[in-house]
Amino acid sequence: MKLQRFALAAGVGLLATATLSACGNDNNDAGSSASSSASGASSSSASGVSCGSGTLTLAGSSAQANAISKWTKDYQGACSGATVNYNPSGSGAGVTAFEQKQVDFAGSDFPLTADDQPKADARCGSGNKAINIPLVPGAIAVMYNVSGVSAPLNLSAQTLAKIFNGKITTWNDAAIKKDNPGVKLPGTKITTFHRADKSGTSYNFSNYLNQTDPADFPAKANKQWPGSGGQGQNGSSGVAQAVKTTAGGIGYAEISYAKANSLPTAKVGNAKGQFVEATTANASAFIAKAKTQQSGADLQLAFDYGYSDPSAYPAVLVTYEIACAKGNSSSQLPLIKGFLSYGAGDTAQGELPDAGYVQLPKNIQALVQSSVKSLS
Amino acid sequence: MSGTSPTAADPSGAGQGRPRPAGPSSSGRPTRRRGVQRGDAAFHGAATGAAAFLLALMGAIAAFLVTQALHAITADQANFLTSFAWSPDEDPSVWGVGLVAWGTLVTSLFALVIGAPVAIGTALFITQYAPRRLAQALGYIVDLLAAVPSVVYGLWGIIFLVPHMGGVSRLVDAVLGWIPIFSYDGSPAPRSVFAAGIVLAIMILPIIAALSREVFLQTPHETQEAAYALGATRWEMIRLAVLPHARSGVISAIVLGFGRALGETIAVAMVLSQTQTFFSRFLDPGGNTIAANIAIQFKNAFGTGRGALIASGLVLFVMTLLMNYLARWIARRGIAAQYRRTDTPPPHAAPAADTASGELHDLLDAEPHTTQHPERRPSPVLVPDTGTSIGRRIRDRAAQLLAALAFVAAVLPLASILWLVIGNGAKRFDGMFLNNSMRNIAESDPGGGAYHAILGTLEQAGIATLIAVPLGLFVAIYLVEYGRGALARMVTFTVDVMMGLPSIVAGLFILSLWILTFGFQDSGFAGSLALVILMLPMVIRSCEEMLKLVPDSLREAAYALGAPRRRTIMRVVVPTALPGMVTGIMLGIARVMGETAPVLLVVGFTSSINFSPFSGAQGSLPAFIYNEATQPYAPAVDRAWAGALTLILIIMLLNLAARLIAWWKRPGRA
Repeated sequence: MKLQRFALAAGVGLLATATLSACGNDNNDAGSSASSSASGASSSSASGVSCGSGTLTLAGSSAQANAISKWTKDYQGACSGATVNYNPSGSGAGVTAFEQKQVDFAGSDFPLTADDQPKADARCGSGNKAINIPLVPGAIAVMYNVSGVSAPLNLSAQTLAKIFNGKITTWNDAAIKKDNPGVKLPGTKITTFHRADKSGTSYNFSNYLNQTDPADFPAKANKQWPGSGGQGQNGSSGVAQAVKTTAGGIGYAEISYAKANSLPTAKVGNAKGQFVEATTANASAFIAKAKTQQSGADLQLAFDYGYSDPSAYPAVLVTYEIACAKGNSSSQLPLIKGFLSYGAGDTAQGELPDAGYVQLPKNIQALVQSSVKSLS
Repeated sequence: MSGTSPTAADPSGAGQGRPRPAGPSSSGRPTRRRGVQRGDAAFHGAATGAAAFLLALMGAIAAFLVTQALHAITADQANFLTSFAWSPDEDPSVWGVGLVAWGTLVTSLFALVIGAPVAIGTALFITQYAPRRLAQALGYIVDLLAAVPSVVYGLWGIIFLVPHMGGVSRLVDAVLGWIPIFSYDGSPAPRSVFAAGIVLAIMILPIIAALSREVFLQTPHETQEAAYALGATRWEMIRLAVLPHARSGVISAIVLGFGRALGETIAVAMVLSQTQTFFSRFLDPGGNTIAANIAIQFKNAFGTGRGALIASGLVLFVMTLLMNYLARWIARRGIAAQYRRTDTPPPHAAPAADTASGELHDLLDAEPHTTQHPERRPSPVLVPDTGTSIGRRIRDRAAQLLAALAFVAAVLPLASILWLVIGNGAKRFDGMFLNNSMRNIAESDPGGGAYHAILGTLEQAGIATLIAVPLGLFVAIYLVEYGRGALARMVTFTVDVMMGLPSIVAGLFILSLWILTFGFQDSGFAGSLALVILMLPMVIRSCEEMLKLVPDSLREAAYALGAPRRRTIMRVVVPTALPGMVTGIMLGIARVMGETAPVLLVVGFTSSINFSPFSGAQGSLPAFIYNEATQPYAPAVDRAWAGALTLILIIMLLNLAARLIAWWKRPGRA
């Protein structure tokens, strides 16, 4: 009797699940404001989208996740038979998943390390190489929370280095005043926030400080924030959230986080001491001068921190896709190439500034496209 | 085993002396008897097999984690127990658990010092002061705190608590600032050990409160009445009758809450500022814990780094285990002392004895005890007021006030959390949210929904239930009906060990074994497996406690009618215990449904609906909330809140269903 009642309850539960399964909706086109030219394309030739079918499984850097999410929407819209799943589990987890053949390619904030290169090569089959393709650049904004200051603050590399090393502790410090003549600064205590987790953002921001002003920021660039003092926060959202809720707070994060939290961003000093506004166009201009290191399809960028121009923003980063140059599974290859070449195309790159990223400069974009084309 | 006398009680307490059927000579026809014996043997085999499987599983977990950790420990250039550094992936690899272990202890101690008094006051208020009709409802309100998933506590911590921490810290500094650890440097909105301790205190409060409430309810009415008869005020009665009786139970409740605080991951990772240097000023920002460090560093950990994180997970595991054993030891000592005093042998199901180990049952299923005397609670009403001095009356009133204040302090955070979740979640909690997936919705777009995640969570929890419940039930049957000797003791020990397993360690195990070693893809099923590990001990405990409560007279009656053992268990014992077991199981499901950390590691990520839990990435509601909450875009954050609201609603419905079943089936309901 009691067992029967239990069975009845279980049956009701199952029925509820079944009902739920019946009515879910994967088709969000009607509700969303899909405006990109790609989402209207239904054939593989329009807009140059080359379609594959099946599921593309990806994982890696959370920094590029939102760019991938935009492109996924476009690509799935153009190719009805395709599903793209990008797991923003982090660069380390992404590269491990790539080496374990869990994913078709991985997103990473860094090129493959010497340690990982052989493991990644082995995954691609004997004699084949795993390569890095730079695809999603970004600008690192310095966000702050200082009341009573309206215009964007100027912060030179020296001043930033001292702030992030705990040498400058109040907002009305002489060094900050010198960067901002005529601005009335409060005596609020400075609270600095950095990433607690390893990240490409920390690596590139510390690289900018170390390369531009090695005297005040002697620590070498590191994924784990190398500065001294300050508070660690989990993820860019944690840093932005902390700056927003802390009077006198300052932190660094991708520019989209500053915009989303309506936090002001500083004009950052370059090697010549010029102050540059954090805009995606300025960042793109700086990335365009990066030195490219090419070997076969492998492409890596090294930023030129000596390059100074009032319209070239020096605190930038670039994230990579890590894929097999050769030895991709024949069933997945159309999807891998199709999705990557969509990402390297003009439409996809043109969407990046709106999503808070930076467009690849034309010179580098051309190299990336030929790299993607050569995948097999 | 069959040679054991039915009356020989096992001193370990693992296998109680259950009645068993009389020998073969008393049974019916020989042919039928052989079939019955074969059936009984098979059933006995299944129960023993389930128990052995549990041992093998735990052995595999331990062996696997130790191997993974050893690799990183050998690569370590520093002392892995004492070093404060954490750079396992660098060359040279330098790391140690010293700093994170310190932080884990300190945050949990803060949680305890803040949470325990409030929890005990709350339990006193509910059992001793609140009007009887209200008491159960109030208990339910406090238990609701246990239904809030930890990612929601984390969000509440960042958005509501941290901005108010400056003022609170200044207050503490003003009073206790002369002690160095309580001096405050005035950082605005400090993400301090203190702040993390408060969030943890709120999280462990319902556990301690519910366990203490149970123990308080066990106070013999005779003692209470005797205290009143001697003219005691209510507070004096509590002090003389309730508290001494409950002492050991309450202490073990506190220690269990402490164990829970040690293993908490996501909420601490969100609230605490992580530092890599030693910290000892707990009001100032900065700190770290083992579990938060795992959650934060895992994303970018490579080979050695993963091993190092697993090693730190093992250290956490050992810490939690020690805490559980401390609780059991205290409880057992208390019971022994109590029965020494009264010269009564402890009954096998003495509820206080079970408190330490039978956490789930006690936490979740008050009814079987409370309803024994549903309408009776001694009260001092009959005591004439004359002769009670003013001082005693003031003390009585003060105690009442303090208990009421503790209750308010427990309920306020709940109100604040629910207010925040409902206020923010209502924006996007609509038909589209429940019925659509996130396919073709970029994170910056408005619209979209959590259908794929809700589906995934229901399927994953459902599969976990389908695996954990039969397995757990058989292990419980083994422990109660068959268990004897070394195997039974080992199974009991294993269940205790699994009770203390931090959820992120379960996730790491499935990730390392199922995905990275066996090479399976991320899938909903992998998530289910991690949940099974977390659910099994809860299911075993609650089934075991309920089976123990079935009176032996029922078993004897069945045997007297000639029913074989298997039939007696399946037709008499299990159905009798069923309502209580269902309650325990449903609350176990609710608990694992809100698990974020392990699911995040193994189910993969997709925006599309995937009905199959066996192939490809699948959505999950806690992972959905975590992902949307970390986005920079407002529409995504709105979706995170709506997701949190959905998850709380699902878990509350399960809690409610469990309570309805318990109420519906309670003895004495007309």
